[in-house]
Amino acid sequence: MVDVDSLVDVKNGMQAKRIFWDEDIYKLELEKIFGRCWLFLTHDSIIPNVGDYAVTFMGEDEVLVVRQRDGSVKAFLNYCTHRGARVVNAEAGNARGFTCTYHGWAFGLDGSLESVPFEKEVYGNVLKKDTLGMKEVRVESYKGFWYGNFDHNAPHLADYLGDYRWFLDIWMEGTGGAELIGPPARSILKCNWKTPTENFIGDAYHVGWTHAASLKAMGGPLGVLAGNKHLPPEGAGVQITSRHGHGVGILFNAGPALMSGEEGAMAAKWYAENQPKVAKRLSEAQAKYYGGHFNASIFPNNSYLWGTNTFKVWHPRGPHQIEVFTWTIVEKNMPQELKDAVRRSMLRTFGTAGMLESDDSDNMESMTNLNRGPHIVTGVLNSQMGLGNEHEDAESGNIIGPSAIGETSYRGFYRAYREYLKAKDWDEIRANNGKWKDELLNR
Amino acid sequence: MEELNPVAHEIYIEVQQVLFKETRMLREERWREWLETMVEKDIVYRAIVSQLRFRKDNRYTGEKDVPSLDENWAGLDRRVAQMESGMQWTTDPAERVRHFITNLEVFQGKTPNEYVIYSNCQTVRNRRVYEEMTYCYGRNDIWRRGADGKLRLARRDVDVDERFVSGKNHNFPM
Repeated sequence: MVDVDSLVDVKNGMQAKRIFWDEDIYKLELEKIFGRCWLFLTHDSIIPNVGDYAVTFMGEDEVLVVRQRDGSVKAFLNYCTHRGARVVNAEAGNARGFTCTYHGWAFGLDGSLESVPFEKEVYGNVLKKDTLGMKEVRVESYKGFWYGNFDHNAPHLADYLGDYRWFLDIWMEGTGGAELIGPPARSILKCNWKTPTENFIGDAYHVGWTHAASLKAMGGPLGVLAGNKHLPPEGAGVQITSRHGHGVGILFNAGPALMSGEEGAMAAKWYAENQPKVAKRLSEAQAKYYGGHFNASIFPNNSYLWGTNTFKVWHPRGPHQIEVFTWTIVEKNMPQELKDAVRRSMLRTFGTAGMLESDDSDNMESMTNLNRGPHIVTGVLNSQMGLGNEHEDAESGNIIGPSAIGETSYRGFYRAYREYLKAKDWDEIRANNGKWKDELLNR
Repeated sequence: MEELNPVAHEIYIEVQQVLFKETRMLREERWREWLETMVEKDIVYRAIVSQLRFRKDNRYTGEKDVPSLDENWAGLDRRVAQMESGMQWTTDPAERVRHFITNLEVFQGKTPNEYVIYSNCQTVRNRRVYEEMTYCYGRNDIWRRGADGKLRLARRDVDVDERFVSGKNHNFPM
């Protein structure tokens, strides 16, 4: 039995190192977090047409996501209900149905079992085909981004995102929508799934140091941070944490990020031209953040950078390994020339050969693997930066840390993490809706 | 595919020696020298992985190529500058990268000064104490002979076999 209270100290911003290593904690995470949080599946732009499908993971479960004949989307566990073989071996495509490779049981786009070879001859009347469809998973979308959930008692996706939508809308809605480009790159990292999630959710501190060489070489608005020569000035950014643990750090007016020269100028021009449109479509308050650089995670394992334009899912593969899915993300209405430049910049920074991606992965792996030592794993980790400086954000309803660098969203992530691990069910989590801020604000 | 004409034996040997020299230069971390002396200014340097699709599926409209690298000269210059910065702690202590280049075919290119070069590569990369990573890929190169008679890399398309990156990343000279 895992003593959840001993794992996270929210008020003092500390976490037990065991959460990055122990098998029993990982099993609890699969059940209580991956078993009932909304997990990213795919985007409208990947499966636009009837019969389009993509295969992905929810936690360790392989999932097939399919565009239906009525335009809706359904998702199924990717195994045959007969003897459990994988149904679809491709990663994406377009199909009229899905046939298992083992005995040829055939399923429709809607997952129903349509035909069984020699059914009459070999089964007679035994088989109840209407109960043997592929096992369906609940799905919902927000602005074209599809997520799945194993728990039918979970709140709707829009409510799960909650007040955090205020920050999502800035780029998901502000200029007419966002889209993912191409199939995902896939890579294995030997680290715990929470390590990159916490890094993306709110670690502006490491940027100038971990990425010193990359920033120095690349220029662009983030380049000035290289080697910790400069701290972002007072009022240069904020960090946010929200009800269900989603968080974001924003560095104002750093949108072109690591694009310099002509490409940087093209990006800067786009942001400047569109800021008034965002103000009109959303609000002045949201437009203030548009054109900034966002580092963010949607709880539990979906991270993105806006400005460096990467969109990632950290699929867990045991407590010590993840499979990373990486896409480029762009605003739909960007001119093609800018989309291409953004994609090249993403590949250079956070793609599978990315200069900054390689910096991060080295840290992430050692942060996990050193825990094999029994004396190392008993330690605690510190995320106390900016402790006591947070307050409620009147504009968005979230908690805000009023500096570019701080660990507010770390603390919010692990607060939510503890809440999920402790709660018996979603009703128990809902009961905390009115008081989730108390511990973080120490009141 | 258009029929390509193989080159004379002397040119084949010359190209082979240039490719071997290139890998040795990169192995010895002579990045700037490589960029300045062996790479054309209009270089296109790409690496792709392929998404798994069913053979008969011709209806899906999504891209199949998964780019890992898509660089021009300026991008390669930034990567070299990263190594020259004196701050690149991920390669300190140094990594060791050894290329094996085989199945070499050399053809006459579109102009008398260009050669189309196919090869298979296996690259073994060691870093830190325990990380040994092997990458298997094909390269389609175009090398161009300059006015000085020297061959320089004008285009490289790397086609990586492994669908996922088991060896951490593709951030090494491919």
